[in-house]
Amino acid sequence: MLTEELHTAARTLGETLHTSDVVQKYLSALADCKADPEAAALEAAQGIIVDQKEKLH
Amino acid sequence: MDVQPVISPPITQPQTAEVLGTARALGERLSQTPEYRAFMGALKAVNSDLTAKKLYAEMRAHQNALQRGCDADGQHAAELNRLELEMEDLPLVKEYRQPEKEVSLLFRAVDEVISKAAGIPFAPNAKRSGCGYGG
Repeated sequence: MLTEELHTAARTLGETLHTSDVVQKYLSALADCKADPEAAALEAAQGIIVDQKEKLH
Repeated sequence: MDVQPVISPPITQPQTAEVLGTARALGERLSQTPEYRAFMGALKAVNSDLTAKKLYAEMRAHQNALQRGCDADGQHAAELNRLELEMEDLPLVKEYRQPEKEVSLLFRAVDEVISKAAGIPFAPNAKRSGCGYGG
């Protein structure tokens, strides 16, 4: 569905975001959170909330 | 005592500028797609239709009443429902729904690519809070 040009532009944005400090900090915090049983439960619950919001939109 | 002026750090860091630059490039490409152009054309047509404007204004009045909790007898909810149906029945609104669906599919496909490359779900994290109708 996506043209090659659009796909490349979207992938470039994703890769730029991935290497940014803010996303790296987020991914690092997420990894720490997943390693902590209590925090992992909270993170899982937030994931469910995001899924539910997606269904509503 | 001499007071030295405080020099604020630049608001836009180089890294942020790079992200914004790639985002802008993607936005420009998206704005050139047939799906986006068709959607914007249909949206403009709906937004400049007098009947749609009138219905929208009436809907807002009922929505405001509902948000204030002024609907003990359910009349505002019923009227809002009736107006929504009337709005959906307008030929221009019917014509708007197809390009709306197509541009949404396009944006979702783009979101999947961004999210996969970024390593985090992009769209859910990019949402602004609040809600609105056509805002």
